[in-house]
Amino acid sequence: MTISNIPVGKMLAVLLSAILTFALSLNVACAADLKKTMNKSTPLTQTYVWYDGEREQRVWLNPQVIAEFNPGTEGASAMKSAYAGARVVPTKHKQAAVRLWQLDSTAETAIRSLKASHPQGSYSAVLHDAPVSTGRMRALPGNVIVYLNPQWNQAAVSNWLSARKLEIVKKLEIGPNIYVIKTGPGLEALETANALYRSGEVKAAFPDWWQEVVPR
Amino acid sequence: MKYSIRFTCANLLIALALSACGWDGGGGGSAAAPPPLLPAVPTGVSATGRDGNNLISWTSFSPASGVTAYNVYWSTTAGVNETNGTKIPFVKNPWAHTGLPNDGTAYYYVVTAVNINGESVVSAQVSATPAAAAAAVDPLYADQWHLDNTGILGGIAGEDINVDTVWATYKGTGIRIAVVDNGLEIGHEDLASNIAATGLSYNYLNGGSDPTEDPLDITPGNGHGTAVAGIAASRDFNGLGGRGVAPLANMVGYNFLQNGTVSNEADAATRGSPNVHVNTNSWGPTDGNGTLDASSTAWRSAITTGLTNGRGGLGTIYTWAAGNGAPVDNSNYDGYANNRGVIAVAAVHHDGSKSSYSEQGANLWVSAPAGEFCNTRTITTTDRTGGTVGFNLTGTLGDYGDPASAYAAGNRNYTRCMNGTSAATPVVAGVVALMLEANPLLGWRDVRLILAQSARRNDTLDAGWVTAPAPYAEFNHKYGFGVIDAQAAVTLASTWVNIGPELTFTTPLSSPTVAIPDNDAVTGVSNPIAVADSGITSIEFVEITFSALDHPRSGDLEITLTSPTGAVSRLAETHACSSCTPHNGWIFGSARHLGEGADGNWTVTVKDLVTDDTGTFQSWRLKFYGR
Repeated sequence: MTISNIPVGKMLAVLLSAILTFALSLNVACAADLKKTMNKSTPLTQTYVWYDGEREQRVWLNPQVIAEFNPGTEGASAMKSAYAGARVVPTKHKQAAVRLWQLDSTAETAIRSLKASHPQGSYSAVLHDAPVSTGRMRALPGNVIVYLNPQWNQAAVSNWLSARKLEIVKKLEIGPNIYVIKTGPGLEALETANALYRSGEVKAAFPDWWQEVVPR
Repeated sequence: MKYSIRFTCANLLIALALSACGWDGGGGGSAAAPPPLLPAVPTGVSATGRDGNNLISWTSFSPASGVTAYNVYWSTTAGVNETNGTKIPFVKNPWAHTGLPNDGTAYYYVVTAVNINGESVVSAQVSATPAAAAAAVDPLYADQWHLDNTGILGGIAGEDINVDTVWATYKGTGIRIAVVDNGLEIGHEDLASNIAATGLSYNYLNGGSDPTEDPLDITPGNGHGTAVAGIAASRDFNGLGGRGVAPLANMVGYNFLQNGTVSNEADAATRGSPNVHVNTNSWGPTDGNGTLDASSTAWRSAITTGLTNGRGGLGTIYTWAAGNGAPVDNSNYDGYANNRGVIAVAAVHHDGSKSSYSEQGANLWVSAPAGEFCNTRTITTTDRTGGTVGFNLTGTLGDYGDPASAYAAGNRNYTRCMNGTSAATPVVAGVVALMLEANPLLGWRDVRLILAQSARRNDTLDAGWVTAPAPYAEFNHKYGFGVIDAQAAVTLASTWVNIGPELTFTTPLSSPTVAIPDNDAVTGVSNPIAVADSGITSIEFVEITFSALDHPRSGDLEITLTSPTGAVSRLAETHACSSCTPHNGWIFGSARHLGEGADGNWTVTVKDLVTDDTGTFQSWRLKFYGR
């Protein structure tokens, strides 16, 4: 997006930068006021954990935003008929595979309701990497990435999957025995990933997160 | 009624014939629903032979028509149809059949439309024969100051990448660049000749091979990937637009930014890696918020795989935008840009100074031109075709095609307003393509070292330049080792002898667990690690894993690493952030110590320069990469 040929993101960054530079140049104590100014985003309280390799990570649920995957006109109609006040959340960069909705209702209730009224839709809670709504966003389009024992042969992999009634979506060619395992969208994917990791049977298991990434 | 039958032309005709005989396709009931309607046949189909590609276009259906996609079938034999032709699904209109030889072969095409009920009857056949374009000057080359800065409009003559002399010998022939972005218009008039063969690009929305940005998405900036591609490798001397840095390199586009899942970002880093030499990335987490944004485990695995297995084991070269969030952000807060496997690229203005938005960082490797903002001087490159999509939209002031501007003679297939570290990064990708043509056996580490050794000091009066061990001249947290110099890099590459195997050395975790004095700009807390017998006499990169998990505001902390020789990496600076999270085993990267030995005493110093939040310097360790 541009305003007078200046990319908005960059222009905002420059404006912000100018403000920050000025503030920091006055004295360092000003930074304390500044950070309060910058922290006007909504605080979030409900946390979930996931495992990025061996490291436990926390994410915070946004109670009023949900992600709709592979959005189309039918999905928009379903949303509007269920929640007339729903509005699309503007993002710095629009990814065609996802549409974010701001709701008056709680996300959990909305997802349950939408699953019933628009079963072909695919929805997820939106989570943030920080306890505020300006933190980097994540959502769960479904599926889990698992790192299995790299020494296992194909038969061992198949046996393990079969015993757990898991289905491979695809193999990732980023190392030995790394697979995308099928799950439904939403917190189901997070719960499956955590259960697999905590089982001790895998080297890593984490959701195939959708993440907020932008062109520069 | 749910149809399991695929409605092709043939079975539709059969159904219609049976219907005429009184058969309703159902169980004999008289009130059966009508059969689903297939799309109408695409009309207005045309094919145009171009240099190394054919452009196929047709009359698009309106969004209200229910048409969801188009397929093209092609053959080198007349009479192509959906049975005997090679199917290319999910193509955008227009679509370029790329990677074709200019050998006089005629290609035949038909087009179908797809809706939820199936595929239409094929269109009328068209044909075209690729043919080399007559050589002609590139009309916008004079505006491309990053290639040849003559000092116009406030620039400093010579503040460019010194590439024009390289083109007499190398233009990137045989080198493939993957553009990982929000799309790439493969049919663009100044790009199509350099797009790899059909099927090698990838669309993460539909699994097809056409990554062209959605023609109905009028969001300004949806031509980002097309602009990036033009900087790296738009075709030269074709009488169109400007030139890429490597104007005969070929490209593939991966539109990962349309579907940013972890598995897709990992895939985009490794897709086609045996034959992808350079993987260029002008994207990352949102800039300007001061937060620590980690990369994913899967992405890191993908980068490691690309470095190990790409290019037949020589390693894929990853170029990465350092970030546009200055001064709030430091590139080291970005877990993608500070990875040791990527070349983090900062941006400079046409006078050699830092672009205001370009982030500093100890992880920066080199800089490249990108300019400031369009009302001063930015980069001329390809834009989405026409004035309805991309950056340069009809009515945009001051860009090509604006009748009231000095750029009225251009057209809106191009823009002079591309900037950001996004613009600087494909410049480096192009230079690497030239280097790899000059010496295809360079390993990924060799490429990095050549770039560091051949970069030149820009912004010469800046106080941030510090001496680096020979043969590297200087380092600056704003610029890395300086602005890339294509001629110097290619010259060095041509005679380069590859370095030996990579060594690594990881120190034990040091856990000082000391309180960080609050609002103390003087001493802070320091902790040493003594390194001995590492075997590394020439460092190539250092990773610093740091934890202060109980300090809620990472933005309050200034963190430095001091080497045994006294060289200082500024890892973090006190800054505001909108959603600060603690350092939880955060991995900083540093290029600052390139060429130093690893043995000796290393020290991390932490200061909290802001009142209020407090915490503890809990732990840290170092990992050295080198030889």
